[in-house]
Amino acid sequence: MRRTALAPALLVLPGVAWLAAFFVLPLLTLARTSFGAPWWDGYARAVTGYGTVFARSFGFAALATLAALVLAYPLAYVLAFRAGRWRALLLGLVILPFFTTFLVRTFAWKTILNDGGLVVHLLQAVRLVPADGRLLDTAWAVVGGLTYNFLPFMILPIYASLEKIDRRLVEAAQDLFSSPARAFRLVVLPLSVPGVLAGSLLTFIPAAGDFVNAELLGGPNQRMIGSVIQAQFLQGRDYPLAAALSFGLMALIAVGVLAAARLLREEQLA
Amino acid sequence: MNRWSRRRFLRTGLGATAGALAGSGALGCRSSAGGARVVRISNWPLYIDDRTVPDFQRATGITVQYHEDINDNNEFFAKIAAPLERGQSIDRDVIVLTDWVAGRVIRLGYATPLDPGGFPNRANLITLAQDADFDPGRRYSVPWLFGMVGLGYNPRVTGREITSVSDLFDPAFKGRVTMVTEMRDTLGLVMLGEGRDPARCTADDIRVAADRVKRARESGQIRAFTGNDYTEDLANGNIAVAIAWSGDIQGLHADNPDLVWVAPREGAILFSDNMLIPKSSDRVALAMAWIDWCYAPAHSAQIVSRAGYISAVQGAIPELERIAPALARSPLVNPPASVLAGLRNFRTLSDAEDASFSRIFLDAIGG
Amino acid sequence: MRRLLDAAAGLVLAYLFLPILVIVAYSFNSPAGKFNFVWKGFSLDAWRDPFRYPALVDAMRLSIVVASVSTLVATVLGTMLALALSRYRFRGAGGVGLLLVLPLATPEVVLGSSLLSLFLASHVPTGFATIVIAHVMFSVSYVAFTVRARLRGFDWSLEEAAMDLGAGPWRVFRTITLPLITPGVVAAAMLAFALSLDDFVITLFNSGNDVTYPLYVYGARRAAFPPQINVLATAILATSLAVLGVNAWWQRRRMHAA
Repeated sequence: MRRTALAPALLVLPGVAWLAAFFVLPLLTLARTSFGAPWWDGYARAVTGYGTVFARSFGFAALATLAALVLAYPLAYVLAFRAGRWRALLLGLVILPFFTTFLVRTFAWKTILNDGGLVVHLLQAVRLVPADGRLLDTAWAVVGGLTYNFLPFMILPIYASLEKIDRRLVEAAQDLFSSPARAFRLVVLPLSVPGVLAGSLLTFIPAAGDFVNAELLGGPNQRMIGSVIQAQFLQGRDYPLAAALSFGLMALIAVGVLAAARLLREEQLA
Repeated sequence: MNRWSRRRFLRTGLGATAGALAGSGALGCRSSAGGARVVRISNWPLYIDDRTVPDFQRATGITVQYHEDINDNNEFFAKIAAPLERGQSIDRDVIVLTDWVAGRVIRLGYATPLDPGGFPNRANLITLAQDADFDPGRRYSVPWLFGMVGLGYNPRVTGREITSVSDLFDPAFKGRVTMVTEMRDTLGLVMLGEGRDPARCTADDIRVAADRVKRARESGQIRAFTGNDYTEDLANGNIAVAIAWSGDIQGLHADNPDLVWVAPREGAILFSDNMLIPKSSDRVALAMAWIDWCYAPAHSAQIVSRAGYISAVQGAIPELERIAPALARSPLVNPPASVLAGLRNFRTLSDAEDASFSRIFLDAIGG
Repeated sequence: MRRLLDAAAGLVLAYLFLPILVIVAYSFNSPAGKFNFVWKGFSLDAWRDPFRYPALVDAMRLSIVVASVSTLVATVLGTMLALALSRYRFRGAGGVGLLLVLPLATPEVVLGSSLLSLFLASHVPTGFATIVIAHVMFSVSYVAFTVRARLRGFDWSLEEAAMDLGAGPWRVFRTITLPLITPGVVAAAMLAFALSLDDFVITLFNSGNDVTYPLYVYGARRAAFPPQINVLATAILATSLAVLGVNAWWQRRRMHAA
């Protein structure tokens, strides 16, 4: 039986070593870098100078997560319950946009939302956008870009949890509650919550740290924290500030996620 | 085979292999191995014409690896600083950097002095460029091209002539103004509009200019802070007025003859992009050959014919008359004395000032 | 109600594809200036001369090489992890699982910047090697989870049966385990390849002087955005479509044959 104990250790070792060296150790190095002179200098500047940017980043990420949820759920539902033999194809279609580079996809939005483009003209016609208004270089474009880019991350987990639901349960519920809407609300929806949660996390966390959408689609008043971190690391070379901002971002995300989890658990118990 | 002869066989085998490898130069320096002489150049995009590189290669037999990988001074400097500091190669023999970054590179000792022996055409350097406060005596650098920072606008969109820096802040153009992400260009121009001199600016001047920019940004007056991408929006009419580089507007003229570049009446900023040899380069002779080639008047005219900026080579304008007469008469490429008189350099900053002013600027533009 | 639902789903799918259509369409644009954001006229010029910009071609080549190398390493490491976690019960399995999930829960800016700070502190020059290291790092988790999902319900007693029959452990792996996990491994490898090709943020921090395809596109936003970028993006899309199609067809054949 000694061989059995050795086998998993050998299998696991290279991967764990790689992650330990190139994920854990870097985070520790980042922590050390964040301590400037005096040790709290980077953090002090991070907190005092960038509160607005942090708030804005989380605001955009939250909006994008909500929008993605609204858009993803119907598609995930149809995929899980109504797709039948088209399911594999449709799933493939959902994943396919991934195979164009993320940056090129976002540039395409720059084309779509262009000032003289069809979308802007349509929205101007229905007065949603003022006659001399625009979509690019506004918060709408940034949130739109974030929603779009992370939509598959919301669709797939919701689909996965919906797909696992036993059909007989749903049929029984429909018999019991006589109305399909009630069956959905009381049986399907609660069972899909793990998927919704997973999708929301997989959308919110990367969106909060994103900067490409803001830089390509937004203006100077839509700048996100990821942009600042990137600029301070790669151009400003103010490492203590940049590292402090990174840890600030992670800490805030962790707090937000834990708070949301606590809230949901309380709701479920109530 | 007995043990003794096997050992001898191995030894002679290894020796032969090692000798062959050493002889073929596979283990030695690639650059000194007989064969290709290659010069590696980094430059800004669209800063050269189609003929210069092939002509140079044909005339000298030196192969050129031309990289258009400089998009931003700070980004590029950050990329090369660490390797050069450690004495590692950056795989380049000529890099083209804006005056203030070139100054930083020279000050930090990352550049190799130009070899006067390999530079007979140095005599063609125009008086304006003979000396520079970021490179006294021009020992390490010579200009690739000069340029001017002023105002670019679309008369059809503005409905009127633009003449002053204060036009950038005209509420009639709210949301249709752009400025550039280069601190010296934006703050320098805004400073001129406040009646202050960038060639002698103080921290207070910087703060005043930065404040003006910040307020304009927060109020929505400024749509974006750009690199060269303002040209698209200007051409499309999405932007009314932009802080613009003279060569960009010149380059747009073919397709958009109505676009105008103007030096504001308060003055304009003069800048130069300069060729330097990084200290890691092991091909100084090849780099000098390239630099010398670019300083022949005919070749400089050739470069200007596409780039649309101002040559630093004497005699380039008459040459330009022959190949692109309209360009030779353009005030953007051949500025009249009135414009030249109003041009200001942004003064060279110390490292501490550079860091502090950059921080103020970054805060003003949003982040 | 049902119709409404289908219509909604259809709209979302259309929304997902809108930028893709634009990307493909604009590869046929003949742009007025240096940027490709306004439609000017139909032209095959970009398709006739897709390799016009050597820097773009070099960037594409680098991306493909990086993706190939990192996929290889990440697939091996990730598959080993998945095998260990599925096949065996061992102390620390929970910890390993957590270690695999954490990178997925960390924003890319932080992943990229922390890795850069490690390289800076250890004076490791950033370039090809550091890009590959970074790509392997974030791919391993995806590979491990994908293979592990496919291994659920795997009948490990098949292995024991083979061993009882006298086969050595390597032979068992080669002839029994490997063929059965191959579809999962292939899927994971394709995912890792796509992730590597696509990666921008982490690469931006750790690429030094080297330029990958996404980095080229990012730099182009300031200077010039030729339609050739769209041509190459369309080519990648078409190739991926073909690969997915072939894979699906091959899977169905195997299932019919089995």
